[in-house]
Amino acid sequence: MSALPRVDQLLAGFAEGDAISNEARGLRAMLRRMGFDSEIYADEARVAPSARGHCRLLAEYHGTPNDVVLHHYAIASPTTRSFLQAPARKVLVYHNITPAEFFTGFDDDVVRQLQTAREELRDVAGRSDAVWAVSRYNASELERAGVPRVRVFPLLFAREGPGPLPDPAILRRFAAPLTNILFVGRMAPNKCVEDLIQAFAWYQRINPFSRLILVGSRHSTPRYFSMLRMFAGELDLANVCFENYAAPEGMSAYYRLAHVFISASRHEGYCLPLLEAMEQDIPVIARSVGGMPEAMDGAGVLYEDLDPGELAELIHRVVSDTALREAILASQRRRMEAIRHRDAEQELRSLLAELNVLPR
Amino acid sequence: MRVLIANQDRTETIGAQIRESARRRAASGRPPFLSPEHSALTLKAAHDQADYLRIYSRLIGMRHGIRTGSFAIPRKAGLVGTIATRIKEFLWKLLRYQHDRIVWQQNLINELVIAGLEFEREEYRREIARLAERVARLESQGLS
Repeated sequence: MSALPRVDQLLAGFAEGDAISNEARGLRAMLRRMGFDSEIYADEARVAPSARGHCRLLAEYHGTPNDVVLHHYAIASPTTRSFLQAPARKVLVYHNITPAEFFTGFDDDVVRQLQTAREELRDVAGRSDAVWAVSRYNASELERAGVPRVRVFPLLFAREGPGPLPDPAILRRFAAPLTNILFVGRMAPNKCVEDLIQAFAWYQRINPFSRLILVGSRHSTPRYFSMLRMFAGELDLANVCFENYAAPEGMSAYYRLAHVFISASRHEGYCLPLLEAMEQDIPVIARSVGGMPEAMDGAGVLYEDLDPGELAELIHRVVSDTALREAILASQRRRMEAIRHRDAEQELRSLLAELNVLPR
Repeated sequence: MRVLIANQDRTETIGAQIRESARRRAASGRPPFLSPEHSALTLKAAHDQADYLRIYSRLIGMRHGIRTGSFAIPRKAGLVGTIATRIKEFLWKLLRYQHDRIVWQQNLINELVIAGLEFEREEYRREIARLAERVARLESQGLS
């Protein structure tokens, strides 16, 4: 039996491909390597059927005063109550709360859950023994809300080995030699996918031999997804491909196909897909909002206040100007090199030492 | 406007160039954006899910028809591109007679389904109004 305390994680939900779920899995693996017993617990009502084997149910969680419990916080859920009632030492891991206004009209329940999460944030943070933010952007937001002593532990991004082989079925389906513009992320209103569709409508006037590939769960906000489909239909854009969530082999295929990656999101705490695209050596264009400039850290292309026609011209420039493209890719390779040198395990040790879990 | 490329502010150079290109391209024609009241993006103005459904029903009522008008076939440069485009144009003309009959049937089905949904909503509205009236009457009797 281990002499170290248990370090468990509580999540509002758990699903394959979800950023918070992936972060929890990465942390669990790291904690186990460090010698801790560690499990992930999530609210049964929000565990995706395909992810059942990868986490335990919240009802099974029983912490002791000697344990540590991490609560990944982004939306209100019954998990927060379990966290606050746990006798263990508590760490709030703040992933940012999407402003509820984005979901108005699309999902009344999510609006309420986001508003509640925002209202309760200070109280939950105040009752925690430590508060960690997954980006400096998130930390500064907490500090503005009056939360003291916030520590930053950036989202994990570590790929070992060459990664999975691309799904051949997807490569065959997109074999026609078109310019592929890729977006990866949930089909959620804060991602502003409609801005990409508008820009693509303009881009098709520049390059009709192109397609927009949108990869991400359509079940997150079905009403928003219906709006996107309707919008693409009214513009008669046949080459807008809604691809739903993809397994790692699928993701590998989409990245293989992409000529440029773009995110027009208007709210992100960090945004890991930007790094995934950089790792695949695809030029990245992102709106300069939220935690995205921090994720990019001087690499790729950041923009502000471009109308859809101007964004289309920017995409065209990045795709067609070889020298510019090389400069962008060089900056991204430097960024990935810096990330590869990060010692996340040592960062985690230092944070746990502050909780007297490990010697300082 | 602001454009940062590889950590360098390129707003005055590349930013200005793309703005000028976009202006010139817009002058030669725009994509077929619908007016704000007819566009799907009007759903972003919904106050809640019920309001969303009201707007969605209005929009879907305008969209039951499949467009059968000709569309621009992208043309690649060179002789091969020209021949490929001509073949596509010929095939479209050849298929059009059969295609339009199928589309007519599909449009008819779409119209009937949308009308059926509207009838159903109307019945629900009527039923809810009747129940609300009954609840109000029972409450007033209980209070007296």
